[in-house]
Amino acid sequence: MSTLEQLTNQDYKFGFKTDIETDILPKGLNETVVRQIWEKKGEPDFMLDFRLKAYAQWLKMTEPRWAHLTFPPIDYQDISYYAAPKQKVQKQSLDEVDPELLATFEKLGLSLNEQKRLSGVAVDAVFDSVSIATTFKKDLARHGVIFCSISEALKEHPDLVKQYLGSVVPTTDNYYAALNSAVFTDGSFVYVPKDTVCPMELSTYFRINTEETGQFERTLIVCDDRAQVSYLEGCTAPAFSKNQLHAAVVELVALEDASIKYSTVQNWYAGDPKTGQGGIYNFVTKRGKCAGARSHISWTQVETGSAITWKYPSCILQGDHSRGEFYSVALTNNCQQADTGTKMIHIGKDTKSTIISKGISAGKSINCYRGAVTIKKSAKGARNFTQCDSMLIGDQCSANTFPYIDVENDTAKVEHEASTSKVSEEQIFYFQSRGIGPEEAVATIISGFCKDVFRELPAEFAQEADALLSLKLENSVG
Amino acid sequence: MNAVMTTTANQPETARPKTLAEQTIAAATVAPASVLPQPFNRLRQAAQNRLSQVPFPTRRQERYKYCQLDGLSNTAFESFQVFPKISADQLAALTLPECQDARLVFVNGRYQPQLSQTKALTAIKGFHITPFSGMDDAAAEALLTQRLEAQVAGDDNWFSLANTALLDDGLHIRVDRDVVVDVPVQLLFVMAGADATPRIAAPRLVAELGPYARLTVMEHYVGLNNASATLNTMGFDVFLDDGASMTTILFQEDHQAGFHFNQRRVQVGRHAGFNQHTLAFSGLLSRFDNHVTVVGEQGDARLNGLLLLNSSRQSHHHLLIDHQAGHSTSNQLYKSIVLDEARGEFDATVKIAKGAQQTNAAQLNKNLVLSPLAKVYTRPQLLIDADDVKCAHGATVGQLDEEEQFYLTSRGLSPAQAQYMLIDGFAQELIDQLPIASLHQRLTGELQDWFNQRFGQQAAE
Repeated sequence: MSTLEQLTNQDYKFGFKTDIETDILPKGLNETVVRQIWEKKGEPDFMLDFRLKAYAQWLKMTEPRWAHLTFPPIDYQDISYYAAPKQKVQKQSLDEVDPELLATFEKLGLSLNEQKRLSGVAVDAVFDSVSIATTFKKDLARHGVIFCSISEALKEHPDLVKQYLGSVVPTTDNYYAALNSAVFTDGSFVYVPKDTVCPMELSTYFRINTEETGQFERTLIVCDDRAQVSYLEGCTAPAFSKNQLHAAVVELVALEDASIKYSTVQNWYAGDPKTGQGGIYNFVTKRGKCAGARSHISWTQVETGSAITWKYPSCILQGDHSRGEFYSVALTNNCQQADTGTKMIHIGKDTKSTIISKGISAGKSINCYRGAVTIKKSAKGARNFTQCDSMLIGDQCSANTFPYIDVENDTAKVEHEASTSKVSEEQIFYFQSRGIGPEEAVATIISGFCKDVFRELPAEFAQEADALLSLKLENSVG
Repeated sequence: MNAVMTTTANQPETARPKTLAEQTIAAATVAPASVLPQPFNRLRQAAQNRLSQVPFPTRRQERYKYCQLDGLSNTAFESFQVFPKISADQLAALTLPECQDARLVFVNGRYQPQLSQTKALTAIKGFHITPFSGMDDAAAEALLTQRLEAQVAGDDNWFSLANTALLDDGLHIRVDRDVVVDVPVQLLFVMAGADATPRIAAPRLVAELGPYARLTVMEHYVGLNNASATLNTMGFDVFLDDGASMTTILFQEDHQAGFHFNQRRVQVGRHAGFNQHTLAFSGLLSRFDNHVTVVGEQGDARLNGLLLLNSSRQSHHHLLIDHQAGHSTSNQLYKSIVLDEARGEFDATVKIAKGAQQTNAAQLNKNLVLSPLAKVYTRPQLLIDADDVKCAHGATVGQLDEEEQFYLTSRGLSPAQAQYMLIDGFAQELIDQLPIASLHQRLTGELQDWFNQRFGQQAAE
């Protein structure tokens, strides 16, 4: 077997499933189901209206077909839209959490206890749509930071949620966002009040369990004037034979001088390495709005999993002098398909954006960068820099680049550059001649290739991401 | 079971009322082309059938997203049945000094041998020009089956189909093996106004170069005495055999109300080279669809473009370089200067097929936006299915650099002189590469005139 062909031999290391009884709605989607979700969640009245409107809109829409992706039609009636672990009582500490559940996190390398003690990271662990444990909540409360599940926020801070929910990603935005708006069951809510720097990095680990349950997460982060927050999101999912749909929506709102940093490491089940069967469909709408002057939103993502990734974390740069950033590493292997990138919409004066995208394709995968930089008439003095590089490993994979650059005023400066390269046998030979094994060589080359993005990640995430890429490309050479 | 996600371009729109342009052009295709040999009618018929299945362009289609087509859609076009007299003086004024004896003239889409000058060309053994009307049935049949017919079935470009459906007297150019045509051939496409009716023309060219043949042409599109809108649907098919080399300069000087849809398909063989220089300065709405397929190893394609757009002109440049063979190279360099309410679009794709290893492709698009309402849309795209390739692309959109202007003015140049120098420098990179000397002077002069007109008589020599 040649060096590069062996790439396909990497199995999903987190393929297991925890047996926990779940309260589950029958498969199918109709108005009654939407009402039932609303009832089960005990949400305020305005949410019913929100959900039903979204559902009505969704019915009128058609699945987007413009992405460079191939997959069988999704039967939206074959999905159960609500599943909750049967644990009704709110937990105050980790001791009260189902040990089996904790063991699941343990296998993922994430121990809440350890995290709590060692890293000072508050974790809102989402296990199949309902928050189980929220640590450090009290510490945060002292600073006035609200960090809770969105269902809790709907109960305790309905006005805040009402004000911002759907303000960045309207229910009518796209097919999957409309679906999410109608049926989302849980997610995270963060509110950082004025003049507050969030005392710790916030983090949510997502986990998809319960076979054939689509997960519809909804995350809303609001950073008030002069506030700052860094949010981490990481995902792994058990190996299932049937495709799972994940249509999440993430909304960020940055008010005047506020700064939000949103980091993601995504490593969901990518399906059978040979056939691509069974992987997660990750159709996510992520968008941030720099609403206030001098606000700043930064997206960092490391996408390594999922059978299909369809995801464009975007920034609406509305406030004058606001800044948007997008740093991305997307790795596809075997039969994975990724169509990912960003949109930077410049509206305010002197807005700036930076896009750094690194795509790595291996095996038989398809990796597309699709980005849009739009400079509106009002965005005087807007500035954008884009760099998207692709790396191909093996001759069966594809790397595509689709940048859209629309400039509608005469004071904007936009630069876009892209390149494609490969890990050559020569480079590996060079490493080997210096006594470095081929695997380590590839890991080093990849690590160097992704350096610009990794250094944007919080330290512990950067390490994890680096390790993850090496793990994903294990056996790719030999 | 697998549904392939593609662009929405091909999806039929439901219950869409036909635009005036679509109705009238479709009606115009019905009139038979009496001058052509029988087999061509089959080709026209096939294109007509296909045309009825392909949706008329609207902005809802991805590939026409940035085209403002209202002006075109709402116009009722008739086909040209009139070929007004063009005086020798008029023609002489349009002829390049290098091409005095090598000028082929098309009027309103139809090849006009009596207006053409072929003295220099007939002297070259192995250079053949045959109007479609002058072919016998067998030759026409061969051209259709070998070159033209296959592409109609899969074609979804409405204007290219309209061109075939309206096919009038086109021209076939053939250069035999090893023949070097050492004079540049001027192909003069005149849209000559006849009356107040908007007219559509369908010029068509086929060029076949044998192994190691060489040819340089200048496609010159001009409007004369036009009182109304015209629509030019140029079609050009180029076939380069192994080692052949062709350079074409596409000089667009359409009149103010000219719509221009230019489709070309180029096949580049082994060791063959295709060079194209597009100069888009005029017209109301122009659109260039270049589809270059590199089928042979070490084939090379170079496409340059210089756009100078003002008032409310639109110029859309779509390129697809399809590398099907390894060790091939391609290079694109497009620059545009956009003013007033003009819009310029560069949409280029480099596609590298599986197995086309060791391919080297580059794309660069630079834009100067000099007016608040000017718009630039650029999309350099890569579709890569082979791992051992080198591909790079870049795009910039900006203004004249203030520091550079400051530097020049600090050396004693007036602000206008400094600006002119920078604009001239921006454009010269492309003008310098043109293989016809008289064009350098002419374009530089035109750039200067244009600048003077615009910024007052300030730009110094």
